Amino acid sequence: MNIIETRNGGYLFTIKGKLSKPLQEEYKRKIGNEDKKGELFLFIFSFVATFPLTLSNPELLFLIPTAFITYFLGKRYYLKNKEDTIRIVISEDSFAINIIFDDDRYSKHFDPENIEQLYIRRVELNKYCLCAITKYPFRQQIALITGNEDKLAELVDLKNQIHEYFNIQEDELEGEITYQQAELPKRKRQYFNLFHQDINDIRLNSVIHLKGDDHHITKINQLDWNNGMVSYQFMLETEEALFYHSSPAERLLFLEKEMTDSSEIGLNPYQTELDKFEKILYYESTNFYQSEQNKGKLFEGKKLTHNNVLQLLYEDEEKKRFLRVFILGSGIKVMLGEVIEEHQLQEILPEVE
Amino acid sequence: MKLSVSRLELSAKINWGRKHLTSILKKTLPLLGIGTVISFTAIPYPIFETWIKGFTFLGIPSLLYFGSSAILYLTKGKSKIRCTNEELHIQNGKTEFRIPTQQIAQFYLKYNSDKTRNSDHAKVDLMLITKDHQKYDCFNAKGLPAKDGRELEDTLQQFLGIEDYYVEGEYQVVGHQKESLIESDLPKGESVGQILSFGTEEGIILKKFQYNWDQSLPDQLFWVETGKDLSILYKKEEHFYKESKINTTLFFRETGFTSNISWEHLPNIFHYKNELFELIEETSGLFLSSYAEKKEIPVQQRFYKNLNQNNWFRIVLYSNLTIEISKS
Repeated sequence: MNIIETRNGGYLFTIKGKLSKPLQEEYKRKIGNEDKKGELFLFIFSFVATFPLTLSNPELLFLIPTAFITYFLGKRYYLKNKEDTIRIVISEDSFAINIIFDDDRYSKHFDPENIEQLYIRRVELNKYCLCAITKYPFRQQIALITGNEDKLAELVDLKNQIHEYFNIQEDELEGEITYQQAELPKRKRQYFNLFHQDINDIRLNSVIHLKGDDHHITKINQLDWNNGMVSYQFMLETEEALFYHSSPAERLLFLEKEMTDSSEIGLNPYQTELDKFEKILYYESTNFYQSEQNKGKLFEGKKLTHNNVLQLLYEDEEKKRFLRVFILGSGIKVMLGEVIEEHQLQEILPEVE
Repeated sequence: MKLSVSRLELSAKINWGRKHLTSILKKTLPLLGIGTVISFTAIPYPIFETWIKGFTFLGIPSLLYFGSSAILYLTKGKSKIRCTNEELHIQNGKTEFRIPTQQIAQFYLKYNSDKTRNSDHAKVDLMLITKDHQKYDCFNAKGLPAKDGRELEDTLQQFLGIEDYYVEGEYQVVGHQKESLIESDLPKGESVGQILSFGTEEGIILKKFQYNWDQSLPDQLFWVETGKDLSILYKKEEHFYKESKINTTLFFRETGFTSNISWEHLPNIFHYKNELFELIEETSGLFLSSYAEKKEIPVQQRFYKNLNQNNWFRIVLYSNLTIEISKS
């Protein structure tokens, strides 16, 4: 769908699709007579033009009906498969559907005041229809544009844009098709660096050489934080995970393991409010100082699994050990991590096919 | 269109002649078939009694049809696209176009109304927009089918890790209008992958962040890999300053603030390790963690300097939650 803002503050939507059957019939009735006139003229012209030839070769007379039957059958086949260029023009006081087919133009106007709302329904297994409900002279439904599953998203957009423009309050109707776009995580590059490798080269099923051992990546969780930064949790075949955390002023990489009992560090496992957590935690004779609070979304692979994830990051004074308190819905998880120096992550091998 | 993606490169070949020919054949071949069948059944046999007559009525039209199709096929040419992590190379017939991938901000599709008019399906042009707002038409307005265009656009962006966002006037193939991302408005200057010299050191820029302040010129932050470590450089008024992150809890303890002090109650003056720091500047604006951002990230910054003006603290509040303190 192509969208252009018009000079009068309206919009012009251009979409390739099929008009609904009632509108197609109305359009054919309107332009049908002119169409037939042109074809009749063509028939007479070709008859007159070939007439001198047919005098010497009477068999040629058969060619003219043959050509015409072919023309009509071919045209019928072509029209059945051709998608029309449909233009929808909306402005303050008008909502019009225009269709241009070769040199013919057809336009259907609606009074925006008369439109209760638009909605999409399924008419066949793989056929959807954008319909309008009008208020007067009596409440009725008018089918506007039809399309298969490929066109569904465009029809939804068109409906939403028209509703937004005319400020139409949408009610959910029985049989209405709803369509939601899946939320995706922030993108990371797909190409693999042979040299100067970084965290983006670690993929699912790839192998990393960490602290002298090879590890297989079994799962990747991505955390998109509200401050625009991204963290990755690379699950290893052991119970550990390699955690990458970035903030504008720092990037961290640590090997972490979940603590089975969060009460060991004095945390209430049902506490979910960030401000009520202690700023200093004590564990194994070490003080951990809170360094960051984050809020964001958790994606497992490319699937959004938690919309509102909270994280508290604690570090010891030397920045060698970390505690990561992770709040998912109603429960908390605590991970104890040890920093990984860059030289300890030596080699990243591409994913196994 | 033949599209292939490996770990190291993306390549695509488009044979415009084949595309054109396929679309013409789809439209006309049934017509030719129907015509031939009807000719055989309806035209009296005497027309075909000599081979010259038969050739005149069936051979010449068929020859013209297939001959013109072959000419169309040969004259339309081919396009090739090859993308690695460093460079995008597009070849249209004999003309070539190369651009470093770091300069690419976005690919988008533009509706080609001329080509669409004569086609059953929508045709689009693949456009490329650079970080300094130059626009290039990748295939010189030859008009790709919208679905092919979308596949190519999406695959290229995924390969390079470019976030997909709405460009004004973009043709939406799959519907659901893309989000209008907030773009960095300072495209020129240092960019990722370049070598940056600061003081006696130099390194490769790994990441670039930008603070678009409401009242003053934007500042930038760079991650620079020097070979020894990762240096964080803050660029303010064309000068670079090396920074290190300070733990917030330890900072608040050192300065004597309460540990759960709110942003609004941060004082204008404080002592840190027997040095007095005072508030010089307080700004707010938007933060961009990459060239374009999905959602607005509000940022507030308080900038403190000591009396000798040689040390500073930058206390930043991102998206009204995350506080980060950097010392220069």
